[in-house]
Amino acid sequence: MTLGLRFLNPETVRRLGRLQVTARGLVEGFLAGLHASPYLGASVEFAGHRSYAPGDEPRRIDWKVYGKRDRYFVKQYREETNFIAYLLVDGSASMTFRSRQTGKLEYACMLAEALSYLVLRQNDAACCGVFDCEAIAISPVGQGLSFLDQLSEILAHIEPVAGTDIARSLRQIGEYMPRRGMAVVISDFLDSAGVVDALKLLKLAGHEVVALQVLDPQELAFDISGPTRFDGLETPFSALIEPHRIRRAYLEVLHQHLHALRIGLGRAGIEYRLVGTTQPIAEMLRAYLAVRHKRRRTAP
Amino acid sequence: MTLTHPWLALGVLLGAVPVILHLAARRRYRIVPWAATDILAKALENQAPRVRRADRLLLAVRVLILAAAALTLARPAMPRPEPPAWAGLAPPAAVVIVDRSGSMQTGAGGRTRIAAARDRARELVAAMPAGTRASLLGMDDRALPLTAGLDADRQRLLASVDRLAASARNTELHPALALALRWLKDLSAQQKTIYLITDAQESLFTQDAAATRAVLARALPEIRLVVLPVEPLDGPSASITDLEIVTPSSPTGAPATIRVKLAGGVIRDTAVGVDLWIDGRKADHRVVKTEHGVAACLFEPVAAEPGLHQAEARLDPNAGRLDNRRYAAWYTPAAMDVLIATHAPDNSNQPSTYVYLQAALEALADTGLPWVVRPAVRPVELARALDERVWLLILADCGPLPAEAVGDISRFVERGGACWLSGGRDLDETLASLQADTSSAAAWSSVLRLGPPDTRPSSPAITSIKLHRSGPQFAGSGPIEAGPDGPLAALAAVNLLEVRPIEPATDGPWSVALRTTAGRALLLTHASHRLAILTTSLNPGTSDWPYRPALVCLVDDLARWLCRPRLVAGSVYPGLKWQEPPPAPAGRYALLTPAGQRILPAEPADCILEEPGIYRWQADQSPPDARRALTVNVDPGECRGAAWSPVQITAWLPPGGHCVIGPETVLQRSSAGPRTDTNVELWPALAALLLALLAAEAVLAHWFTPAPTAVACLEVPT
Repeated sequence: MTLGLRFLNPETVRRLGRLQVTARGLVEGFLAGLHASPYLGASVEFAGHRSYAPGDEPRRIDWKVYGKRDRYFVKQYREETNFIAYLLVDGSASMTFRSRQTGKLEYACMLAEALSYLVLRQNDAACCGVFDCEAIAISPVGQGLSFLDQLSEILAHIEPVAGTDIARSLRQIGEYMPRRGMAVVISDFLDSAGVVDALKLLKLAGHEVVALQVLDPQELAFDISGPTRFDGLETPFSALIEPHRIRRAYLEVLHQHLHALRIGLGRAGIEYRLVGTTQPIAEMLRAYLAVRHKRRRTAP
Repeated sequence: MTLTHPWLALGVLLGAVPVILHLAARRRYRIVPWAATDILAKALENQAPRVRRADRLLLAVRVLILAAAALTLARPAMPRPEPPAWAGLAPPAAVVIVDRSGSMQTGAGGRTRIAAARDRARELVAAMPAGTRASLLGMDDRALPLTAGLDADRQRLLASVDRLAASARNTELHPALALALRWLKDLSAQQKTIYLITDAQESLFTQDAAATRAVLARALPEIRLVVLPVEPLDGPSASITDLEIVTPSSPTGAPATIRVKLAGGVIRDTAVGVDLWIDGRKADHRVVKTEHGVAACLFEPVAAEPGLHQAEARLDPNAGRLDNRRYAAWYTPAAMDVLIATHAPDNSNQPSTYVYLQAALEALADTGLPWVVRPAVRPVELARALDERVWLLILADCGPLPAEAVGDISRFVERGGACWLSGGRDLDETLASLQADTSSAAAWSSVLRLGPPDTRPSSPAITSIKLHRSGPQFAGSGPIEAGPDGPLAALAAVNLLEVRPIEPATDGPWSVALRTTAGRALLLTHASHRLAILTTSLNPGTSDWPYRPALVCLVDDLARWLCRPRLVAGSVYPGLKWQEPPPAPAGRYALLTPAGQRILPAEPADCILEEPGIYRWQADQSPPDARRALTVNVDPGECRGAAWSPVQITAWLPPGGHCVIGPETVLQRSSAGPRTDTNVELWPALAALLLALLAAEAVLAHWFTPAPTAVACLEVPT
């Protein structure tokens, strides 16, 4: 079967192996699956008791409780359902920066495609959105690997424009996310204004929000030599400097920025991950999902 | 500041290289589209001012490094501060006597002479070398001390000058002089000077002149007296500065013109009487009117008879004056024929005395006098050839003379002709022939012979000859005791001179001038003749003596001796005598004001040492106020190989005129000894600065430009 992958090569797909993407919180699904649903249903995971009501199956009555309380109580079990992974990719001009073979936007698309693959492969649903200063594209929610082609099509046709308003665009996209699910926002998050607040909105809407910050190695190291004129990709900024002279200051500011982002997102209960474009997708996802899975098991 | 290698100083321009490189580097940059502009902008905001300051500091240091390197290679040096001339000795001392008599109340243009005297005194005090102890003394018919003795505080001296006022009293010089001398007499000082600032009224020097002379006689020459007149002066005070034979007569007998130059900063539109004396007799008198301190007068014709005459200029003794110097020069109104009598054929193959004489006599052309060298004759032809136009007769290798020739020669000498005897062993025979004529025997009283020892006859040495020396070349005066151990014998010992008498020793008014440093020539003059009688060995075949150069030197000396204007006698002040200067090295000297400023521009107008002790300053550019008395110094730095103290000269400088700084010049060797290093080298300091700059550059570069590895990158979590 042709998967319709546009950014991932077969080797990467092979290395993704049997990875599973599971929601840490409750997600709304329409199929029974791996993920905990806010709805109670048939499952092996005991959720609690409730008073018997006419129509309940008599086999769900907890006779032990009846013996103690002399009232009918019914056992409730947490329903497991499938979930929707909302993969939101920053398509602004700042994502076009690249110092290596793989640029940030390309890497973000690879990341989104890989996650989509993993999600669709485990019969969960996926939805893909692209934003810059506003929401510019969003796919319908789909299921099955056959839907991967449609998602890749959206990612492949991103046309970066100057300007990012992540708060506004996520607010717009949130309107198209009726069911609670897992929102993975992939961006460079260099627009420091309102990023945390925008992601909080998604969180408040009941989504599990994951922020993946994709940065180029040169943005992280600032190891440029010789007189250089830096022209802003999104702003009319221009400065002729010798980068090595201000490298220390740049890294300090960058560190503060990332630290503030990490702290802000952490306080909001949003998962944050910094990703370099030189990291292999498979290894990166393997490591990330392992950590995530571990957290899920240790969470109360 | 001077540079040993000035062209290397152009390397300072290399200091622009870092700037150029910096600017060029800023023009070559690459463009990087950047996403994290907010972060970069914040980093720039934090770091840019510091980086900019660091950049400029580094750039400045690098520019300085190159400039310092270039300057170090150029080896700059600064002149070492000139030590005072009296370094190591007691500082100079001076007493300034200011005339405050009644005549000083007068003046012209609303400015009194006492005001001018105050200005002059202020200038004088200001120009004194640092450390000079000085005193101010008012003078009318009594002495009025204005300071309490000698004081080195210049401000107090200047304040006392301001208190100076004229009185209504007469002028008497000797009380003030006596007080000044008393102050200076027992004082230990390198140089003691009395400055007299006066309007030089005649009474100053005539009133009680005997007492003044007596006072001065006690003090001089230990104490120097400098008269600084104030202006305007109406006293006929002048000095003769030169006497010049302007147009020597031609062989046709045209009369000569004699120009007498006078100078006097103290003179303004005043009439000065000048007398011209010819051959010791007063021949003419002129009254010249000075203008702007300088005057000149022409005398013509002064004598018509042929022969050599001595012209002498004197100031009118009836006029009051400060200077009684007299200048004299030889001149002739007609051509002077030189006749050579010789037995040696002039057409032989062997170089003869005659040939060399002919060559040597070319030097006579330099005299400016109309010498005419006639073809040589034989002694037997003398009777026909020795006419009245012959002035110099040279008897060269003549041997015994015919009797008729001896008579002609004797008559020629009696009428004032000069005779030069030249020869070797045959010279004795010539002399014997001349002495045979009893009528002229007195003229041949003594003969000095020059030459190598192989021509020295075996006659007994001379026992005593009185030689009266004249001219500034001589270090002393008095008779020279010639003899086996005398100075003439010393000259003979080095093959330069032989002295022998023809007659037993007789006294004679000889004048001797030792002119050449090589000692190759001796010029002997006799008062009864106007020219020397010279004897020398002229036979090149028997001598390895540098015959021809010596002969040319002889003739050249003779010519110059004849025609040089000379200071005959006199001094600035009657009764004073000039201190004769010691020989000075020939060279070029710069004249400086007491403040150290050059009077003259650079070459070729510098003072030229014409001959030992005589400096001639011929300049079109006079000092701004040339009528003022000016003290000039010889720049010690210009005297290479010798250390000289400043020349103490006071001369009246006429604008556009010239001033002969000669007999009144006193050159003294400095006790400080020759200076070997006149400059302070600056390159060690610059080299140290260069090293410091290099170290600073290394530190700053390391500090401001951290290595890329010095900053830790942010690690992406794996």
